[in-house]
Amino acid sequence: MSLAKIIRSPLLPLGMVGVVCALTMVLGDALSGHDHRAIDLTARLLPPLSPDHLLGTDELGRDQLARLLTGLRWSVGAAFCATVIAFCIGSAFGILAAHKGGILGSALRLLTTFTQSFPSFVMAVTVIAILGDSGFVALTLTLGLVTWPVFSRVVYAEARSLFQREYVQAAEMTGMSKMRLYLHHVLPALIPTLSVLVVFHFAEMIVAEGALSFLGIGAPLGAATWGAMLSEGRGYMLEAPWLTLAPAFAMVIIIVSAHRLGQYLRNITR
Amino acid sequence: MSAVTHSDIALDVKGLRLEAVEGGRVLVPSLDLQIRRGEILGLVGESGSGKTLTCFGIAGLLPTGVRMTAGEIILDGQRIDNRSEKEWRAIRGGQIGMIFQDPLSSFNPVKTIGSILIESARRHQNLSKAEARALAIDILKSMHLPGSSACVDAYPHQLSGGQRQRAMIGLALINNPALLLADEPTTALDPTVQLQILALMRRKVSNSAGLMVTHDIAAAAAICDRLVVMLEGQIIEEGPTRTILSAPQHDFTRQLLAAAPIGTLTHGGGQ
Repeated sequence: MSLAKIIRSPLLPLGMVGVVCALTMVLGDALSGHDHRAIDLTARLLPPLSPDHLLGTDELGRDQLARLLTGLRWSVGAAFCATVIAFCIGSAFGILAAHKGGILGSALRLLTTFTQSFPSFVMAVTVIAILGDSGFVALTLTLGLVTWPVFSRVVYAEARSLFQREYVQAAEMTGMSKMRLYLHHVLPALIPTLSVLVVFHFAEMIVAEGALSFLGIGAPLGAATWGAMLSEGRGYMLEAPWLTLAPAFAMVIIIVSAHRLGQYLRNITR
Repeated sequence: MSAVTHSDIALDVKGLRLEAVEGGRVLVPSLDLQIRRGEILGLVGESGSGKTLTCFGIAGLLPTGVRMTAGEIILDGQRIDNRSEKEWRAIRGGQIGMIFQDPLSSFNPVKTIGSILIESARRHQNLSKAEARALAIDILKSMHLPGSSACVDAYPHQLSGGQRQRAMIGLALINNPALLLADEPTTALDPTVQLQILALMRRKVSNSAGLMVTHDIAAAAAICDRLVVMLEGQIIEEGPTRTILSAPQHDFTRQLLAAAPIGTLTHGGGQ
């Protein structure tokens, strides 16, 4: 591929966002040169571009850039894990329901409808409140467990038509086991649809994680996440607008990138 | 032919009864079939007569919503209809091979012809990858597929309809099954290719038994030794192909014969 082609590629900005994300998640605090937890009450609410603090500091004098980068780790990590959980549960249930029919199929479809009939955000709030303990595992599990029906529905509908295909029957007729049939003949045909769905779901999970952390029930207290930063910065909206603007912009960049990637995948797989 | 001894019979279906799960509608009330070794039996009838269901029932692959409620299926002297799913997997593809209607949709479009054949061969025979590949090439060669070694690595869309159906027959026969099931094997092919495929099937079934399901009585007449005519789930007429062609007893059989294109009704069967 020539350089000009790479520069014009729609994937270039996405790739850059991806590389920045990956670097940040690996390097963490080393990138900003500050400990994101270090409190310095002599340097409270410094504006962006202050010497030593590129994005300023918050009300406790913590470096805003360091907190933003740590927040990226949280948000992207949580959204990714939640998406993987939702994907695994949803596609397994979808394929099983499509193939088995009978009581198991009906039960799975009923469970999907049941789960989907609750507003997922309200359900997530309730589940976390019941668990009582907010942390990474609880948060991602909850998000995954309330949002899997999206995958289940799509996989069910597509797998239903796939199981009618003669080549799936022909493969079964060669004595193939069910697991192999699912993994080798059904799932690969679902990849185009699923890849688009996964990326859009990831964007949604970023928003959901941010919203839960904003309400103070996502990340544990004091953790630097974008939602929590928005929530804390709210009180200083007039004196220090950068406290809310920085995490908000970061979220927008990630979500728009995910959406662009989703659109790109949809276009090339159609 | 001398009296039929037990060991002559490859497939024996006794009182097969198929019902819809919901509502319990009876689709095939009670069906008896016998196929001798080396014989091809033609199961003819109109759409919805239960002939395809019977065929899938024998392979233990009834569609969701249909179940077998009575009867026995005996293959090579052993009852197979009461086997577990795991035992069925050894029978399907191993003892029973099946040819489907449309060879284009019967091959996964994203897999090569060879990979499907190799997978089936390795599932039922203890073969290494290289041995299975050699076997796949051999079997494609014996199906008179030109350029067999290239066809192994071809994707389904790169072959013609006739070539695909030859590969399909190869897939069905790769593990030397005792029974070959063919569900409308020529319907999706054009007339000249139909004849070639039928002739190929006829030659290949010589040491096993064949069941050909079709609505095309001319195609059935071309290769079947005996015909069974089905109407609404029941056998209405049964006998040697020659007898049925020359002296049909039932009105419906006469209608089927009248519907066949003129000049195509010639019996080229085994005798």
